[in-house]
Amino acid sequence: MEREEAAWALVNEGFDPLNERGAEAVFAVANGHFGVRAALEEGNPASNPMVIVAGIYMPTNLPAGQTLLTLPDPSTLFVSAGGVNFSMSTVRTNTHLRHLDMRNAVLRRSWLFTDRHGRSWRWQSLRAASAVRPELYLYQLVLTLEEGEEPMRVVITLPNAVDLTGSRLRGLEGFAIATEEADLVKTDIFLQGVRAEVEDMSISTVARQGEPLVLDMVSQIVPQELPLRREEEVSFEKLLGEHEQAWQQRWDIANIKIGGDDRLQQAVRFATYHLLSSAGVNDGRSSIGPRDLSGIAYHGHVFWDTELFILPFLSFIWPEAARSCLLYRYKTLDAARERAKSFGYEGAMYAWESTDTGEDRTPDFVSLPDGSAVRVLNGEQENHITGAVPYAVMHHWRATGDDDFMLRYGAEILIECARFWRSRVSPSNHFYSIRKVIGPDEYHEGVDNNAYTNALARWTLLQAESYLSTLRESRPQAAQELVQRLDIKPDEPAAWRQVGELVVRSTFLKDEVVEQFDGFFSHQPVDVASYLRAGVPLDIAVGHDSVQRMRAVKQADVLMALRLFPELWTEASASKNVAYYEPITAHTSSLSPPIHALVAAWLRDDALCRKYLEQSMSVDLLPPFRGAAGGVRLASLGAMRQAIVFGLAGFKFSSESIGFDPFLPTQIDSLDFSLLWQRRRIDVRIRPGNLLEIKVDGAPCPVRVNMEERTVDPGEWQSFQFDPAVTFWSAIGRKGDSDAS
Amino acid sequence: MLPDNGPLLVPLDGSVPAEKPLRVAEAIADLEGNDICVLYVSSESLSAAETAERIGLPDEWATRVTVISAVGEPAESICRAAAEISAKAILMSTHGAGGNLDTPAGHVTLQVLQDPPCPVYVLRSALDAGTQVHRLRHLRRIVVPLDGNFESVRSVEEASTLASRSNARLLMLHIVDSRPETERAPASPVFLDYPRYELEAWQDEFVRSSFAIAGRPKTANMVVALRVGDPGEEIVRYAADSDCDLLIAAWKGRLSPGRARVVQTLLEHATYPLLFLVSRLPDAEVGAVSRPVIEAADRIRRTRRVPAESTKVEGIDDNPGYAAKTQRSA
Repeated sequence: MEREEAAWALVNEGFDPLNERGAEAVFAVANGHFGVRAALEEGNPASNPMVIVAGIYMPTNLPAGQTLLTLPDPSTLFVSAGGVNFSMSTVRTNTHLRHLDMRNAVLRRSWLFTDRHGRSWRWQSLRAASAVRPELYLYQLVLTLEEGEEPMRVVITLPNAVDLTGSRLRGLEGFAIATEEADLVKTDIFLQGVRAEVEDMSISTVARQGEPLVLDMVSQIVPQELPLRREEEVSFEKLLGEHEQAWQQRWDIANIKIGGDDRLQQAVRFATYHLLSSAGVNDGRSSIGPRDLSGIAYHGHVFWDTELFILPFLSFIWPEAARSCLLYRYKTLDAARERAKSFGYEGAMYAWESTDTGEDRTPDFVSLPDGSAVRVLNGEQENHITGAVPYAVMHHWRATGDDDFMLRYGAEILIECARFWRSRVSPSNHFYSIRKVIGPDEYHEGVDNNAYTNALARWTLLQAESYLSTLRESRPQAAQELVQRLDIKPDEPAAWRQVGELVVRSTFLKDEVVEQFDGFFSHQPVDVASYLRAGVPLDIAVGHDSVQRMRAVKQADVLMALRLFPELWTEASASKNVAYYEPITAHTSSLSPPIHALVAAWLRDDALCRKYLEQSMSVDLLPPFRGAAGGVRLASLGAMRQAIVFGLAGFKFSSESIGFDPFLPTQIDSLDFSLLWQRRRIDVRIRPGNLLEIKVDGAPCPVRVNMEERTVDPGEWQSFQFDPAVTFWSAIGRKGDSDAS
Repeated sequence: MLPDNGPLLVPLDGSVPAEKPLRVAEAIADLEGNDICVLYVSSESLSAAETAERIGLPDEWATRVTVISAVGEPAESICRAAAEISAKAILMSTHGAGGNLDTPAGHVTLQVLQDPPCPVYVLRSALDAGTQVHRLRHLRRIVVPLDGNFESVRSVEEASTLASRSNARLLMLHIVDSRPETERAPASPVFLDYPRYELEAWQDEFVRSSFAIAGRPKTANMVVALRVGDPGEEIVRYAADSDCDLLIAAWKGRLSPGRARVVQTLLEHATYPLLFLVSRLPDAEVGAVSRPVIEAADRIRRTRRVPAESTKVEGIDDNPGYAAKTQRSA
């Protein structure tokens, strides 16, 4: 029980000024609408406090052009006693601790200190971003004079309050101050049960030994509508209680239990905490950036990270939030159409970096720390995002069965992206090539026939034709409306299929190593391992130009095609490509280790899987957190969850059935998780003895475990015996080379 | 900041005309606003006149500097004198009388550098004094190599103060050590998911962590530079490329074999004045969190002899609010 509780908590003892900003991000609270970094309330030179608001972008002079709105932290408080402000440098700290209760999404801080007059104080605070009322930020300070006989006058100053409007909520437990800043933050502050004086931005009262001063603060962050009616008497405890209850409900479906590996258990909880914190149901007003709402490093720009690393989690756990993210892509579809047109293409070409309008915000140039300026080609060439968006659309639809979403929004995205790819390809000896692109391996720019990009293009084209064809059979009226709405020409669907099937290097069935792009094999070999040993990012070590000539890979690229489309591979080809690409991958991207853990699990490579699980865990979570200063790496966290569910459990799905080919690497002896699929709740338990148990809530569910297929009726747990040596490929009869033997 | 208003201690041994080091000392003293105290260490007790004669102190300097003497072993005497007079800094040349020019610095300088009570300016003996005086009087570029360790915090604060005072540009340099099997410096980037934003964020965090204890930078005229390679060689190369006027470095004061390669490289190759700030924290405390670090920070403050009461820590001014933007290299 103690271990179980420990895995729900993230604890940071002490105070390390050099790494404080990373801790602020790791311990941030957020609710999809806003995030608050875990900065010390009383201020410190090491702090970088801020509130980050989702979906509202402000102009910036930086190359990013636009950045997410940030606001002052309303819980910044200056507390003084005897004329001296309490801060890390004015008192002697006895203990300092942050405790993130991930189950309830509440951050607590405990600071015990002795002031210069020898009095001991206990500072306990908590903060939460309401999961029920997305505009509300909850903060509470409990300050206790622990040792010191003389009563002390305590003054609490609110530096971020700009307007004191009086005690409009008088009549509750104490009195209140309402503050507001340009209508973006409105704060109600209650000092419970004590006499106090209010002057300007300060509250003054008397602290007596052993009598806690309790300050409750409720801030409305960029309220869309006033969530708290003036006449509504809502106690802080009620707001906190409903928030905690909402989080417990989220965890009921989102929780993963890992037996035998406490560190991984905590890491997956941490990943899930931030993934859930970053998301919200907002009708497409915003999507999720790579650093969620815990930092501003990527300015809140939206990349492919959302569709391929975050939504595969949300669609199965919180479909409404996933739908919101996809609606954001629908709302920005016109901008994508304009963008395609501006490049001379048809359909829709999604922005590599998207903000509120969907226009591309990728800067044209970037200054490197060595003083050189480098042209940024990603906006023009990382076209694979126009495959990632329809991939997420279809993934979501197949996971949820949300036909309404698909018909009204998803189909349009899919078809417009297919139109883009059809116009993007170039004829080449009876086949089609896609030239001048950048794949996930961003070391190499302007390459031809990047395998990953080609596979996504092929998939998008074939899916569009297949979807429309199926729709015509199942719902001809809806299909006709769609054809009319999108003005789909009679010959278009066949052309999508014809082009899709002839895109070069877009399937991987030949049991040979796939060349990542034209000419990759003739690039200069490099000892990637030596750079990994030195801990130096390869592109930093050798420079932007040199790395382009090297036979080295930034992150999973060909292997990302394996991750997305295992059905296009044989086991032999998968194995050969992992053996080839893994040693030359520099993992400069945090997305890379979890994807390698996933494919290693698929290939039953215990050591490799373990190695990359370890690396995935260390991305943000392990102190000193310095790399997280600009925000946690949310896509990496999403990929780590994928490594567990899709990798270790071997979860596969379609609209018709689900399947599992489990493999638990060393140290992990059980795995429990839940998901929502096609309006059913599925609970899965993988147990020692190669036992998979499944329970279905809803309609009967067709399940495949290895080669055994069975329909599981709702209600009782049903058991399957599995063989960890049986891979997905052997289960579907596609082992490749070994088939012949 | 360097310790309050103590004098600049200039140990002279008469091996070179005193005019040369004194002109450099005067440039530093003008920069820092301090008096100059000349020290002569001998094996016997000397009168003031004898000391001045041994040093070869020109008449025109006699009224501009204070001359003291000490009896004993040179390095130990220098450090003791610096402590006794609460020297703001010591100015040394790399080699004095009898110094072995085949080594980066003479043994007295090396000994002083290992445990000085205050910062130490070092000039290579081979350099032309006039050029160094010009650099110090027209301070335009101050280079500070930073590895992200706790010790380096001191140097950036001092550099920031000097840069602000002299309108110089502060060049904050981080070297990613590319040598195999070396330990990665805390400040080195690990992941570059999208380099353009990662590097921007890295620079921001680099500045913030460098000033995490010192508080906000005293100048906004800053550049953050990232280089890769052997730290000593890259620092020397960068400083030369950027026409450095002063290089300020923190180090642990350990010259045992295999350590302080950067310091030795600088002593051997620097063509500009060097300012070393020695900060010797116990290994167990470096990188630790919580109280030890806070106390270590306090200790660093104390070594600067800034009374706790006078530090700017009492109130709203503690609020970071720091928004200085780093400037990129042109």
